[in-house]
Amino acid sequence: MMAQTKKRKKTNPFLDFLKRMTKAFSAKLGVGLFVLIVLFCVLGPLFSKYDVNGIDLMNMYAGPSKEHLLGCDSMGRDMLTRLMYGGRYSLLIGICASLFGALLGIVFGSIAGYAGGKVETFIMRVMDIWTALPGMMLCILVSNVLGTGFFPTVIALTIGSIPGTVRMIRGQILTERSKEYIEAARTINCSDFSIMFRHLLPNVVQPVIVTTTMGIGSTMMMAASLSFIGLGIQPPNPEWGAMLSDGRAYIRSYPHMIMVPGIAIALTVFAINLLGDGVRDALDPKLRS
Amino acid sequence: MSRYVIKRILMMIVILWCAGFVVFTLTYLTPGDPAMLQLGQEATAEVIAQRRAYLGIDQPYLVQLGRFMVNTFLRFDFGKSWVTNTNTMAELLLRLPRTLIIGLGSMIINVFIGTILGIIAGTHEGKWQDSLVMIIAMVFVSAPDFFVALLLILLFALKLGWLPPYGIETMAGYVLPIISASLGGVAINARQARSAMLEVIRADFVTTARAKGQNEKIVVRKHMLPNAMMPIITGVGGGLSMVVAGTPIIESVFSIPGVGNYLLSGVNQHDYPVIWACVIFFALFSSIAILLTDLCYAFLDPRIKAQYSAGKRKKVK
Amino acid sequence: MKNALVKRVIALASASIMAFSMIGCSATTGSSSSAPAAEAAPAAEAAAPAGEAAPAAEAAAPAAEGLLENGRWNKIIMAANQDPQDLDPDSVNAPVRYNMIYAIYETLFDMADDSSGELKPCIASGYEVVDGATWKVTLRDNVYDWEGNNITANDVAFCFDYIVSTGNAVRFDWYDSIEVVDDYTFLFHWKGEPPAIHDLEFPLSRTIIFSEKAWKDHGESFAKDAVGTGSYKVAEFTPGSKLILEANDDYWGKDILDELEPRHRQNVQTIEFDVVTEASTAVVGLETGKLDICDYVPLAMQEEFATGQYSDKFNVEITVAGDYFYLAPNCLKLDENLRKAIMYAIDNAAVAKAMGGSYVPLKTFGTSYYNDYDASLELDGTYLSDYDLDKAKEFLAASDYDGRELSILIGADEASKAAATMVQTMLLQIGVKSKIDAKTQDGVRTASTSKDGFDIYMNTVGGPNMVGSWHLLFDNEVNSGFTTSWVQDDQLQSLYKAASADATHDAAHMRECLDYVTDHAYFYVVAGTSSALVYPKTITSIGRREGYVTPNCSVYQGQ
Repeated sequence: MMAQTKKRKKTNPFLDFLKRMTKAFSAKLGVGLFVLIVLFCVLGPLFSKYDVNGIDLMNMYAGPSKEHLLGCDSMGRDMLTRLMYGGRYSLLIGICASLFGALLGIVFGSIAGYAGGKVETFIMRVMDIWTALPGMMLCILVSNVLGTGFFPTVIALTIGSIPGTVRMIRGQILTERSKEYIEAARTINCSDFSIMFRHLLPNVVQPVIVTTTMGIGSTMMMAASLSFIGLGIQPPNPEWGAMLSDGRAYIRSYPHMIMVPGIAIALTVFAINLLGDGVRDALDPKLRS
Repeated sequence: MSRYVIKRILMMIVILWCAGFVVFTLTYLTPGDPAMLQLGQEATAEVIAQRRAYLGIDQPYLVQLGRFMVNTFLRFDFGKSWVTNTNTMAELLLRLPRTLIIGLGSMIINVFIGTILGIIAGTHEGKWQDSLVMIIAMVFVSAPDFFVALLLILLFALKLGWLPPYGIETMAGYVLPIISASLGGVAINARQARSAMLEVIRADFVTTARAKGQNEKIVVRKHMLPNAMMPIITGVGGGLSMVVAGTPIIESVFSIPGVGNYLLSGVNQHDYPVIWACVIFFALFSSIAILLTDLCYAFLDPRIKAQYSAGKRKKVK
Repeated sequence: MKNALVKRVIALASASIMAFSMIGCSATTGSSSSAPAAEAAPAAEAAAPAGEAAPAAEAAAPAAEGLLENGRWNKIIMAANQDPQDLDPDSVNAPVRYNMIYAIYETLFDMADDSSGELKPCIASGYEVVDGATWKVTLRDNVYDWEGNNITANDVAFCFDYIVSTGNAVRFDWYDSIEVVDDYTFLFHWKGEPPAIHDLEFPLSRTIIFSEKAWKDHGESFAKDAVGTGSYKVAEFTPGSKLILEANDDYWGKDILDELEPRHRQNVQTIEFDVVTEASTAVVGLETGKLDICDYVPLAMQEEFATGQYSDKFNVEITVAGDYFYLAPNCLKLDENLRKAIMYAIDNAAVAKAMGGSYVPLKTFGTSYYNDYDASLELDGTYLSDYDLDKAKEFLAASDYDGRELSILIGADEASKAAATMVQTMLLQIGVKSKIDAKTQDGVRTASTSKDGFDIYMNTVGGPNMVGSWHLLFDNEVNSGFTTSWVQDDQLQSLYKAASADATHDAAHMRECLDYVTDHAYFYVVAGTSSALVYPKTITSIGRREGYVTPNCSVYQGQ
């Protein structure tokens, strides 16, 4: 791990961070877009006059119109409404899974990095095994075991993202733990727990924050892939990947059924990636001036 | 160095054992009865019990696990598929070339186009070329590959009729899968190459070369590029480990009978020997790829190499 | 520094060589170790008397299409919506593969192609009933497989043992054992006196007969490398992609093709099945000339072939399959009024439409595909024909429904999910709440065979004829004393038995049974599958076996 973290005087770190974060246009765009999408999904359904699972036999497969801005699906359900509801699932799955993955990764990574010795070897060997199974495959197998639905999907996706974080945190801690301030904390008899969580962690989580932010996007995509092959969220609940999978059979006659959820996924991931880039630049000491 | 390699290989074997144990346990825990699934709704309970006995899934966990571990790792017998009665390893190897064509094809595109784009962006930092490349990269990395695949089918196969929408009869059938599998990678490689270039641009030896009045082209080609290669090798290594396992969904969208599709059919039909064989094969392939990448690294980077020749430092990743 | 640079570039080059040689290695080991498996296909080809097949193909080369000198059509490419996966003769119950597997293998008897349910001799030349539970079957003495092995009674016994020992003996309810008498005679011992011939369908006309010797010669698996007695041989087989069959010039039944069922004819030299799972891609295949026949074109897409721009090359025929999608209420949990409320609240036309382009609503328990179907069996004036919310609400008011959430058990396929979603919404219209419980097939089975596993259950059923399909619905032997909808009703059982026994199998008895079922709201029928068959104008008459389009017995221009 090359990135160094410098100790510096903090005035108000969060404000400072926000200021740096929104300096670049792309980051501004990312934040704006992401906030818009979240609002769209959270508040949008309140203004929709259609029921998310409301079937309308007269409008089966209907294309976009004044009544249904994004058209209707194979059961005449309003695509816009389903998109908004589905976004709640997609976003929530992406955020929860990346967050849980980061948390568990931090816990195991810091234990490994700080404890050293046999504990470290054990944890790292487990991670080796874990990464020997490619992420997507592990997700498919685990969600096959746990079944479909919201929580099983989140767990399956979380499991896939743990080893990366563990490795990163451990590497960071290895470089940090030999530094003077840790030495100093030790000499004044700080407990292991306190050293680990009050001194070490704050200095090593920055890269985790960056990868977690970026990870939300790829996790969302992974969740969509899972629903696309029939795992994940089950009907009639809309989820973007599941909607895409539904539309697949009608790709030729009614392409709007794949375009709408597909573009929604792409746009959200795009926003999250811009956001992640912004976070990285804002946190990167090399770019601070 | 050779001690390190041997140690890594031994570790790889242990990892494979553990991966085998994990995947067996996962399939064991998977709810549902493979015998029932295969025989359909007309089978009586008696027939199902008979089928379960034939497949050996009526025995306790430890017996099944023991049999699986012995067969797989001592006899190297991956067993026959429960559904098709074919040897899983033979079937896997038969399917492997198709997956390799897609995997390697998309990796080559990734590395070449991605690196070139990254270099263009890196050497023109802050100019329009940079922004354009980064925007393209961002868009590519944001679009789910299966969505891109569907769009490509819609455009090139259904509307224009230029390329086949499915199948592997001609090499043309591989064009769309390779493109859809490579977009994300192009973006990632471009970003990596760009930041590597940026790091090198700021390096002292480049400044020195410029100060000596070197031709700018020579500075880029002789001083910057070779030094920017390290992260690109990581990209190749990472990509290599994903070559085999990375494309099950792309394969299923284009109905390509590759390894990924084999795994998916194993999952769908509860054909556990297929899942076992695929997973162990993937694990083996990716471990070898990672090992080779690490060795390249060790060989290339004098700092790491020095650690091994000193022979005392544990490897730190 | 220059030195270091050169060194690095060299190192880089060697590193990439290493990386790529590894891929190369894995690729070469891949191909070398796959050799035994790969040998299988060439072996099958080699086994075909190359001397005859090859010249025929060469002769055909100048005239790319049309008739060959031997009177066979040159080549036909048919779309297959499911992968045959393997050619092993062990799965007796996989109808998707009928036109592929049964072109290379044969069975003792053929269930007649006209779906009359009649048994026609094939490998067996006939049978005689010794007593009710024992049949004496004689084999033809001139049946040979492609490798020249003669089929004897011992081979038959071997095949039956194989099916039973691998646990694949589905619907072998009456089969007990086989006793070999001499080379070409054996006895079937049934467990009792079979009530109707279609109860013996699987042992007699689904169990594939092959040579024990060929089986042992080929490593006890025909999965890739099949050896059968059929009129077609495997020329090439790529699981997941295609199966190519070549007419067998040494077919044992060549001289008696007229006596045998049409399915054994050899009207085409080469038949290629291309696996194309998506219907819309198959349509493109037809348009671009990659495919000749497709029997699963969605109804919504058939117009371009029927009247549109491709109508000069193709004919279209709308076909109805025998399988249909039914709904079973759990009669132990739902009272008669609630069941009727549910059934009147469902509009099966709308459900069929939501299920996709290939479903049509039905008014009886079966489709016009079956030979025992009769227009008098259409149940007009019942909940199958009437969608009546007022009636539904009346029945609901009279029922004991207390606002609980009913579970709708379905398989996890797209059509079932669509149907369940539709039913869920329709039930909500009369205020009945429900949740969808989508499971894999085995999960569905476990849940549907437990008394508490579902409130409403939907699935697909089919059979050799209409009453044959009722076995899974009305027969109380399905759940030891209960029907699929958890009914224990002696009256229903006797009506079903009467309708299905060979002696009283007629429209009147069938109607009586159906009326009883609808009077008590024991079952509901949602939809049958219908799709468009698109075939080239060069085919003058489409041949079928048991309803499945079969290229080798279709008739081609000039024949």
